[in-house]
Amino acid sequence: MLKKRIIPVLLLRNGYLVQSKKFSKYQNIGNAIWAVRRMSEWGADELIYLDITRDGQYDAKRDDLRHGNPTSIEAIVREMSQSAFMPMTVGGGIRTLLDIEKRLQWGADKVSVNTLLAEAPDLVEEAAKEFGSQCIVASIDSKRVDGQAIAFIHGGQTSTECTTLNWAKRAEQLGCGEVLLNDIDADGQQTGYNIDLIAEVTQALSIPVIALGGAGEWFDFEDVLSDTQASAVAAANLFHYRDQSVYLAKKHLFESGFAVRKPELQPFITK
Amino acid sequence: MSEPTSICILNYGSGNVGSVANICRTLCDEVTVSNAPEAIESATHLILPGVGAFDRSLQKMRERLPLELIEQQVKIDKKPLMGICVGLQVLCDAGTEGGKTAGLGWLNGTVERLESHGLHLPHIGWNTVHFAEDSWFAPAFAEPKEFYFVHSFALAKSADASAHSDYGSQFVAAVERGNLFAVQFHPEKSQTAGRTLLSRFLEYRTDA
Repeated sequence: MLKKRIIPVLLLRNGYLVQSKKFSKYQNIGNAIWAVRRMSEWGADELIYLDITRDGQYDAKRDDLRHGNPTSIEAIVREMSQSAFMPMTVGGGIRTLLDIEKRLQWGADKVSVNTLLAEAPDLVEEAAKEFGSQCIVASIDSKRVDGQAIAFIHGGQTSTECTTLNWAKRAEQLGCGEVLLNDIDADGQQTGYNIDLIAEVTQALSIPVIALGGAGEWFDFEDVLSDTQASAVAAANLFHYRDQSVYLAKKHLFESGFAVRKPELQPFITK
Repeated sequence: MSEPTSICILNYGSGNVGSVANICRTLCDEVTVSNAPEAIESATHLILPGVGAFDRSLQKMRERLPLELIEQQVKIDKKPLMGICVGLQVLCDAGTEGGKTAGLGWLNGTVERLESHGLHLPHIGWNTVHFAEDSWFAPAFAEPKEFYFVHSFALAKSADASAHSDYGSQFVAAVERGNLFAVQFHPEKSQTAGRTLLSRFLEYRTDA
């Protein structure tokens, strides 16, 4: 049977791996290449990298060099594709078909688009035809406004004035093969996932949905897997602070009877 | 003594050839990505990767690959070839993605939309693959193992089926006919399980 995927999300800002809180506070937490190696070794089912750099500049002027040199998405994807042999989704700053093609050439399997869904939906449609639906992930950031879940773009800065549910349905119509559903209110809060929203969206769509935002402990994954039809649970911050985090999360779920892939450490192979 | 193993990965512009080449390089010193007749003839193993739609992929293959030479290498010289994902599908009798199109017909069966019975499509993620007892890969997988899938179309049945998987209903996860192998999943994205499978493929030698 198809297993529920456990997916670490790596947020890159100005070339550094960061932790995010409500899309507004960012803390530098280390070297991105080492982090992705760890996630791979711990048996993550897939990886998602989101480049959330706002100005497109890689900051090389930092005086805090404790965490080493900044790393571009290109360097990370190339590195991973040479030694990790697992599915990778890359998102952030994608505006043209060439942006997509480049990422696929570096070794990404899928790209995620967010703002593009609003600014150039025709391009999303074209990309799904050109590269295949399986390759285009709709990244949707949801935020409660007057009690209603609304989709936001521009890194959570601008409202689409469309409900998250309708935005997701529209993404499916455009040909996206998957939805990465993130809840801005829950981001970095460790208070659990927005179960109602995930249940509503997964029920209404016929494409798979990856749930993101709010994981604070392994039990939070259980709620998503028991109470919604999400195909995957993703988390960022939670996976960075504990040794073997992904492995332990999967072990916990596997031993509790959830349909996840058997936890196994995966050797990192270098040629 | 047999010649050293060498892999030629066929590149018709519709596959993730980079990822396939990367994992192959950890298993074998001689890996080339090429459609050149000399490269195809001198390799001991051929791989036909694939990502995308059946009709488009087949069209690109017909335009860019020396199919007659490959057919001769596989059917007469019995060189082992492995198709991956769409690379499996185009080897079959026919496909229905983008309208019913004839495939190369080297393997039995028609590729149709998965009967997922309401489960989300595409079928994305790690699913259990059960190899038949007489499959070439069975010795490497005593226990059923998970592999990574990304697709909406598959063979529901085939006289050449050598492994199956389930998603709403049973479908064919791998096919084999002598030296011709093909898998619906992506070994190049299936971590240790994928590497084990490819390593077993390389153990198949025409000259052994």
